[in-house]
Amino acid sequence: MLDLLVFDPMVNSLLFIYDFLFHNFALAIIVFTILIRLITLPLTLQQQRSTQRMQELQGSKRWQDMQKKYKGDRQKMQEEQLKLYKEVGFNPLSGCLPLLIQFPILIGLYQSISRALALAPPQLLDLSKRIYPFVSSSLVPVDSRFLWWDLGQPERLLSPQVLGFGLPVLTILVVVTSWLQTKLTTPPSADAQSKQMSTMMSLYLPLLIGYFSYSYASGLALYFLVSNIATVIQYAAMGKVNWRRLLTLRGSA
Amino acid sequence: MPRVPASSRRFLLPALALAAFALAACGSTGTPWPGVAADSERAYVAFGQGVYAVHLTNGQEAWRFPVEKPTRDQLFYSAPALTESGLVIAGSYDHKVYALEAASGDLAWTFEGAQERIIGDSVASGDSVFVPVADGTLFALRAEDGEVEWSFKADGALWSAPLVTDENVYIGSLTHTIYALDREGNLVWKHDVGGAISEAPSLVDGTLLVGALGQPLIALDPATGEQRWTAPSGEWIWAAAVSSDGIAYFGDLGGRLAAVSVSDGSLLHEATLDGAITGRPALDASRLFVATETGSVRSFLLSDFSSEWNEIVPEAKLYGPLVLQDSLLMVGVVSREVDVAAFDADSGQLRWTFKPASR
Repeated sequence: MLDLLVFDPMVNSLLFIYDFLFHNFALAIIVFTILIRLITLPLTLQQQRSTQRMQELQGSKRWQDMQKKYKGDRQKMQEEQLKLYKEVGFNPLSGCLPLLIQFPILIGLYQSISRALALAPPQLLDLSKRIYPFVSSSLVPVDSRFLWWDLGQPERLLSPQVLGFGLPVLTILVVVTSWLQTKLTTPPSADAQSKQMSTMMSLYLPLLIGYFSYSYASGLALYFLVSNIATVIQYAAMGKVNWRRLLTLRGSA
Repeated sequence: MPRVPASSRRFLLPALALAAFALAACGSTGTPWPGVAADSERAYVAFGQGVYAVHLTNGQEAWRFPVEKPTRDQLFYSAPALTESGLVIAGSYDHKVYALEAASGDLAWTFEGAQERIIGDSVASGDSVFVPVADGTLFALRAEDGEVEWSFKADGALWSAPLVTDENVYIGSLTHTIYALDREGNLVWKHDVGGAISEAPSLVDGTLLVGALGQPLIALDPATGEQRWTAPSGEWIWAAAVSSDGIAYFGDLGGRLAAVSVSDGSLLHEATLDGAITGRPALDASRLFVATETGSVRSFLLSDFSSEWNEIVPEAKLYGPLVLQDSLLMVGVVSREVDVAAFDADSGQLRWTFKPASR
């Protein structure tokens, strides 16, 4: 079912785009990522609205009073927060759902990249059964080379035989852009707990994404890189990027 | 990555960890299959992290390589080549070629000159071994010690076995080209067949037959590479054709088994089987044997193309060429219980199965 509804359409879309983009699979991934971001734009906007609403709540006098009043009683404070959410009709999980919906897309993208690349005979055999009639089978196998990368393998700049290790340039770029993206697009929070969480997020999230980029096919790392850049551009276009936050070394709170 | 409300972020790290797990768990879209070769005493099975010799009489393991724990990238999936001097040559994902003594499994030599994985089957001919490498290099090695005799660089990846004759070496690439080389490694001709080539071509009564993704069976002049005829296929012809008495037999991934005239490609017989045909069929004097991905092994009489016997390997998928040795028909199996199944070619009765004991 997942194959039919998610993986196969994505694989064929990738191949279709690849056919139009001079048989350059990296360009196909870039365009495909941008398309996916456009498709998921309503979810992103929903997240933004949810974030903004949360900020407004956290800036309210009632919230601040609650923080002071129940400073030593965490459970009571949470109860009061939930009460407040209910009163104003805000669901704190409403920003989580769009994120969760994006996970299958992320997994689908990774799967479609590795399936389209067909790096071994079983994958090629599998791919040959999944190509839609309107997609030319002569596209297979796709050319996985781009610059010094093999998009089906984790990227390293130098051969391990030269320096004893390979330099993961793409991973470094992903980590840096992830950090920048988190730093630039996470709004300030008045809530201490949120501040702490934001600080952790701005540190750990880039590292976690970096780990994925380091370990998995570089096609996925390219997706992360393009996605990070697209997010910053998107937020900048909406006037929601605070460039001064780059100067603060502390977390994004 | 998208921004999340602060209160929702506590869910983010566990969710990302879950995503990582999902990425890894969903990562495989197919299982590699064993490569099988045989001489008069043993079958040689290259699969996973080892090469195994198996007694033809009872399916018991005779030896295995490596004896010690293999390295992480030491993975074998292509069928070994057997030399006249008694060596078993196995290419590996670790970019190396291992030559083992057929009688004992002792390592005779190792070739470490490849720059990429070895996916296609190696082929032995005379004093040479021909090894296709995924980076597009075809090596001709001296069988005696693994020294390079010559190498040829194709324009694209080589996943298929070469076809070696007294005069020429033919090999197809994933980038749609079939190459004809002389025995010194010089290019004689090349021909674009319009689709990826995953299996060795066949030389049948002076005609070179090539299967490719999305293409019909293509017949070429082996001397010039000029196209002679094509025979339609339903889907991708993954496996090489075999021939007998001027008739070529081939299967495709749609499960269609066809018999065509070698002289003009005209269709003589056809049958639709219950699954994809991924392995080269086998022939004896009167029968054609074919295996399907869905676990069937079938025998057809050459006289009238009628079905003789049909056996099923339960809960298994069958891949790779059928190997016929002294009335014993062997096929690579992907299942929990079996890696190789051996049948009596006359009756279809299962003689033995082989699965190596874990290390």
